[in-house]
Amino acid sequence: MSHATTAGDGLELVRGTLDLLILKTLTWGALHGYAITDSIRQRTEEAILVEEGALYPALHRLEKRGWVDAEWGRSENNRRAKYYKLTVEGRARLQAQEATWGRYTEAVAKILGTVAP
Amino acid sequence: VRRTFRLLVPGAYRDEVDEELRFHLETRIDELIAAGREPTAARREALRRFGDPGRIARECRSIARTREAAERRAGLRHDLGQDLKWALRRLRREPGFALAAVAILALGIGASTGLFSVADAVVFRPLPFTEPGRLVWIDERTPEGDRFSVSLPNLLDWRRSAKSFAGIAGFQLRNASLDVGLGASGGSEPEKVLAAPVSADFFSVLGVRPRLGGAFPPEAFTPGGDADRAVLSDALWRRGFGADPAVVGTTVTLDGRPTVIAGVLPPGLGFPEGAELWTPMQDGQWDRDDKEIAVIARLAPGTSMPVASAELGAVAERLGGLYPDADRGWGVELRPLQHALVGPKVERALVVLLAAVGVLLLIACVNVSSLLVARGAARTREMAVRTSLGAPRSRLVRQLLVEAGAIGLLGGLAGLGVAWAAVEAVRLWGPAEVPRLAEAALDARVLAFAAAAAVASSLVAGLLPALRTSRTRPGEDLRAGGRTSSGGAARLRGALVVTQLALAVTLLVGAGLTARSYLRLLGVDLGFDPGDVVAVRIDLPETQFPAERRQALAEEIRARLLALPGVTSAAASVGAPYAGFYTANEVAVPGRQPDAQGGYPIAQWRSVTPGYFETLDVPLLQGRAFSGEDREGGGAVVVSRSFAEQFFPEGDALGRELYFGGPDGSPRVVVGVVGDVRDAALEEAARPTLFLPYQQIPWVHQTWLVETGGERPAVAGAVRAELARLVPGVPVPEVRPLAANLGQARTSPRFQALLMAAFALAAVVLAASGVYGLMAFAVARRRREIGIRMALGARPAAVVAMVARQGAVLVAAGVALGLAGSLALARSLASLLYETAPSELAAYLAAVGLLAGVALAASWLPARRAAAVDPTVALTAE
Repeated sequence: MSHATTAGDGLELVRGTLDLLILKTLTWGALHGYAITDSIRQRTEEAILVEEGALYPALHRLEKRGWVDAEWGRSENNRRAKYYKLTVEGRARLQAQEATWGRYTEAVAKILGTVAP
Repeated sequence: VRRTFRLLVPGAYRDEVDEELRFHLETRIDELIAAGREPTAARREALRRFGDPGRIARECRSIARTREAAERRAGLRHDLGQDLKWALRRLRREPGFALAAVAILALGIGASTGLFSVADAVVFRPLPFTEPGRLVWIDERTPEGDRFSVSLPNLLDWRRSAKSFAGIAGFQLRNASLDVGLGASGGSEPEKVLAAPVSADFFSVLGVRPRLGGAFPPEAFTPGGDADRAVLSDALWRRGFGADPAVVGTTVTLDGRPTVIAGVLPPGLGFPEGAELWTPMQDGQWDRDDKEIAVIARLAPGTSMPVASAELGAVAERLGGLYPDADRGWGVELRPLQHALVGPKVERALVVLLAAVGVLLLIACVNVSSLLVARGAARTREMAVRTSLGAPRSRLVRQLLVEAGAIGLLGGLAGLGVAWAAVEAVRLWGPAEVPRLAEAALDARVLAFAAAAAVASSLVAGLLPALRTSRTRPGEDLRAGGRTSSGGAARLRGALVVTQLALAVTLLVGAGLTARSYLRLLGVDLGFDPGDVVAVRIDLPETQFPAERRQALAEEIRARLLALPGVTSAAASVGAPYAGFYTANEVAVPGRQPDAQGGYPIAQWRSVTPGYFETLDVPLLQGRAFSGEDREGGGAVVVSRSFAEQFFPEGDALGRELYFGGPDGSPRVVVGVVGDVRDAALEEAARPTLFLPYQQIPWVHQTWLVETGGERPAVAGAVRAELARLVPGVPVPEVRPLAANLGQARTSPRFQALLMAAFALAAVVLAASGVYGLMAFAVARRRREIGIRMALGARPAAVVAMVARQGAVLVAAGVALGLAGSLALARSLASLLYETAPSELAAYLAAVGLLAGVALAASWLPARRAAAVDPTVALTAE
């Protein structure tokens, strides 16, 4: 696996991957966008979220689908911030997606393994 | 720090998206500065990591907007659900009002939906064949310009020459006897089926492919080829063969000949309607002047009807030159198949009935509307309270509309029941000759119509009352205790009642005209008496009964029937009155020149046995009727009076010579003149008719007409038994009164008159109830005033007159408006009326008299109640 961190080399986001990461991150509790960004960047060693702003349309889309709920609250630096948290549907969606993702990566890894050992 | 960012996106937060994104960027900048970066560098770095804030904000906003719209819709749905629940609860609290309103709308919606279902099946829905718009019906056109059926040689020449058609095919309809019991088992009862001999390409023209087996091979149509094959309808396959898929290839007996079953058609694709079995029609056994075939064709792709018509017309003209005896002066006429099948008359009748039922629905809506206004007037206080509590008017209008919608919804549901009953009734009692009536059903299109009718009715009935009721002046209305007000509501109700009356007048006029036309039709002088005559048609297939046998049978059967007890006279004819069978031929009279094209006038002819005129009580005016002496080779003919007048205008028909079938036909001598018989269509004047002895034209079917002298049912049974004994192996259908044929010819106008009358009656009841409701309301509102008047000495009669006058003004206005509307609308009825002008005064007078009478009675009842007001009670009741 590459550890490149420059924008040009960032991994192309497989469709739905960012959604999955956001949902997973939110299992910790309600977070605002900034905190979600940092959490994902740290845990993926900055491989996934190349453009921080891309998080927000994804969050709004998840909210539209009813998988996350949003609420305005006070941040650590005492400013108004929009906090997102998982809904019941979001939690169910995450579980289903995790299972699918596992099967998917396993299958891809197998093929890549046979082509280029 | 904050300022640096403000420079980037100046001003206060535009919206939540703006605030959210800025929080992110500014937090990042703060963090970078805390890590030791220059503010400007920190800002650049934060933006580099973030991407274009403008683009991202736009994307977020667009997502947020769709989410908010969805939430609003869900909210509205929820609110409407609440409104509906509330509306239904209110209706439950006023069961009398709810029941009346729902029943009125159910009647209107149900009647229109039922009629739409019929009209949809018969007129609007396309035929079930592929590209039905390209199917045409082709007739030949006589030199006189009448439509006439086609001869097979002409059809084959058309098919060879005309390029505008993808295919042309002919068919006939005949009664056949089918015996499914195979040789060995035998002994089974032959069944009468309606068979259609068809020419090559028939199924491909329609675009129908058998679901089992196949169509006929080409050699089945050529002379000498094996034509003993049959394709079955789905219904016959199920009824006669138990839906056995192995039936293809097996042999049955058709008209005494072993016939192989070639295929089975899919359900619902039988054409012509009613046919159950198709056989190949062989070329080569028809002459060019045997114009006895119905023809359908499919237009070639890219061709239009006028082009095809012009091309085929040219072909027909060429054929007229080649075969002057048969075709000189004859043309062709093309019509879209659907029009040819339904006929403009049925189509127009259905459209008129649909319009009439639409008017009825409108009256029902207006009636409910006026009920809602009355109910709204009693709710002034409720509305005032809600307005003063801050409900906007739009909210009140919505609530009131939902209440009307709830009534419409319930009315629509109940209306489906009414519609179902209406469709069943039309199928039971409606005219039999209307094609595709069996297809009428409550399908998706009809349900959609009912739903649309329910929604439209709710809006029409609910909108005005909702606007009226929601208009409140909280201060005044609350002070007045909800009792006063609503001079406006009364005026609106007055206008609604006038509308109902006007619409009812138009329906009454329409019903009056239709009824009058029907009565005139009943009074038509037929020229014969079907009274105690029973009729039965038997078909003697050529294969089993050659001409000599049929001639002998005609004499034998007549002798046997005359010997039956209770039979006073008996005769056979080819085609009976009102049996929908028409035969015609050219007739030339010596000394009369042919027309410009060399053609001769065409007259209807009938082939009859002795006793025909006696049985039908047709008066013999001159000379003699047929006797047993008029045999094959003899030249005696009898003519009808109008025939004599047309062909021998000098007035000396008796003993004159004529040539049947044109100048080359055989010479005949007129031996008798009989009265005119109106035996084809009630609305049509008697056709000039030539009668020939059956012995000279012994066609394969004989319709036996037997006069019974009273004991009709018993004689009918005896006639059937006798026929079954005399012609074994030939199916003998039920022996029915001849009047039944006539009755069928009258069903259509009767049905129309009955429906119109029913609609008009419902309209009168609704309009009268509207008048009554309004007057009762007005009297209740003026109780106090009336009490004062009476306390001051007004006589009861004066009070009645005062109230009744108010009603009379409404009635007069409604009737006047209605008359004006009727005069304009009645013209569309003209083509459906028999000897009845659309401006016939009697219909208008009857409509006005009836409606004015009923409406005045409806306003007189409340007026009397007003006069019975006890002044002391009325004045102290407050």
